[in-house]
Amino acid sequence: MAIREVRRAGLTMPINNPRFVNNSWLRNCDHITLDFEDSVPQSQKPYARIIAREAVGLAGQGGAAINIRINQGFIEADVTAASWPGLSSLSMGHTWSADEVRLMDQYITRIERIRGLRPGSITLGAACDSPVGTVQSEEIVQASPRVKNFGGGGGYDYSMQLGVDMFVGFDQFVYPRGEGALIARAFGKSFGISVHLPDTSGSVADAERSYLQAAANRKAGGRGGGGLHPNVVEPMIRGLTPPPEEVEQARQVLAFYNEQVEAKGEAEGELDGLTVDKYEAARASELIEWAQACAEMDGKKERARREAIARQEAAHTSPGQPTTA
Amino acid sequence: MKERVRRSWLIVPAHKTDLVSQASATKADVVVLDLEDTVHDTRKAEARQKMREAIQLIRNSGSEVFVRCDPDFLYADLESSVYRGLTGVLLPRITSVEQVQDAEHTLAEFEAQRGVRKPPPVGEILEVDEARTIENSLELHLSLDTGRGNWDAPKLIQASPRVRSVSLGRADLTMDLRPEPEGDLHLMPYLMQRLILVANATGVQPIGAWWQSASRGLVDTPQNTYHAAATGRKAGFKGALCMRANQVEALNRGFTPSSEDLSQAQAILHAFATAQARGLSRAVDHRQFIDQGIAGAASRLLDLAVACQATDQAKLHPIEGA
Repeated sequence: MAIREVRRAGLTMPINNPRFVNNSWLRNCDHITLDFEDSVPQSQKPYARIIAREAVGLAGQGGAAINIRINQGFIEADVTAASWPGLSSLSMGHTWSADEVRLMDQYITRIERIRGLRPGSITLGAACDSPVGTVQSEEIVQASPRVKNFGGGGGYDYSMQLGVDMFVGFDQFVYPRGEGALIARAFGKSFGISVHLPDTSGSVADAERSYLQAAANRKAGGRGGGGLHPNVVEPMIRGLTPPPEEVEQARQVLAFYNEQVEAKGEAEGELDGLTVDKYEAARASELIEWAQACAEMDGKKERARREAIARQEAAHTSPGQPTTA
Repeated sequence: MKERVRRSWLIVPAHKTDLVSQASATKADVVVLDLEDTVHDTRKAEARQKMREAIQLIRNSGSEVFVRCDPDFLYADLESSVYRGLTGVLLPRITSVEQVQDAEHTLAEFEAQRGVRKPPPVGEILEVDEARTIENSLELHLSLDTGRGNWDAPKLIQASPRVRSVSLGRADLTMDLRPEPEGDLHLMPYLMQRLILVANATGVQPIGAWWQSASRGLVDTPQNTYHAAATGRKAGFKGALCMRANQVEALNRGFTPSSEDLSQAQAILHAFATAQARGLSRAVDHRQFIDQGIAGAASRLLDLAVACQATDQAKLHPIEGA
């Protein structure tokens, strides 16, 4: 299993809110989404486009991957305003059709050429957060080779579209989430796994719940997460990073498979009650690689933050006081 | 086409003579002689050499025999397996129509060369001069163990009329289908229901069980296996794969209507017949409305019980060399 990018925890924030954006790089996020869309009022959207280039640079100082969420109705203007060095990806909430994705791809390709960005370096995320998107998802996921992340199938927008309550004690999105995850796997894309945990509060700042959700997602194979409040970043990272005892156990499984199963011409063996075969070995191997990738990402962010702070100190500027993002 | 009762599909590595011999005594409805995952590459030649003898041993014990081929060695695996006594071929890692058609053509080639026909149900005799039809051709079972295979299930199933059954295979291992906090395997409820739906729409048997344990289903405990089978039957599965001999009884029991099920079905039919005799279109029994549909389901349940019993009886007295 190929290791995906490390994007355990991220924050989404309106790009036109300087308090959020200026402090975003101090939050230890693996990724940050600067929003052009729902959280930016119509009257502020032209301003949002003007400040996008600077915001990408600011938010990226801490080593996080930067994504910009664009408006379904302003694809050309938003893609043009957002695509600058330092941008990792563009996403579109409410992806309803493959044509929209193809249009995004066309504009990105043009901008990459004009601005000297490496061709194909800006990836796309599609969120099928409506029944229409779910029905169209097979075509959407194939609409551009830039589509790396595929999501949706639940959450606020889906609830609104279906006219159902979002915070209930059962999983009301089994079908659309399942369909999205299956299509993503069928076409080699990553899908944001979110296993069902009953949530009737809807709090976006509940650290304990965020940890439980992230840990449950990791157990089910999830590797990514995101939220709206700084409180949830550390718990998500902790929940999605394999604890040392699991890494050690994975090393034992792998060693057992290599030395006691494969080397002896067997297909499976038993280690402390666990049937160990090539699938368990592959799972152990992936966990070890994931733990390594997480450690590398943590190191990268630490170095980036130190360097940014040193630059600011050299320029006699303050990194800013932590505030709610 | 009358469906055969195939509640338990026991997978055994074909090169392990002791396990094959053990499988012949389990009363599994189907024994799958494996040439794929459970056989190390260095043992595959040995496994192929033992295949013909193993097929006869299993068939003579009263179980149907399938072979699980390794898609990387399809020709060699089929060449070693298409002999009298074999009922079908389980194809894992299927993701394209071409794979299914390739298997079909190779299978047909060996069938024609060797005059092999699919054996009749256990206990019945194969007519030597019987003309070849799709009914007596060897079957294919598709093991859809990847995202692509599951997504394209309808067209893969329809790629060959030999395809008679389908399962999620090792999907739990290749698709991150791991335990969720509430016990279900992530994505599994969706995938299982989708498989059941697609199988019914295309007229093949859905094979699987409602595995929930943190342990992998195919090697689960007899108790968990029974619960997975009983729930699976109620969800629409017809039988399930397993890899341990001690799971067979649990699968056979879980996929056979229980005595309580039968009592209830008989009561329903009695109440409905009584209502009809009175000129009514439906009955009320213990506050349950019983109409034509409910009565039909009860009748099918009794038919299944009879078929299960007949299969179990036939396994007690298999016809040598059938």
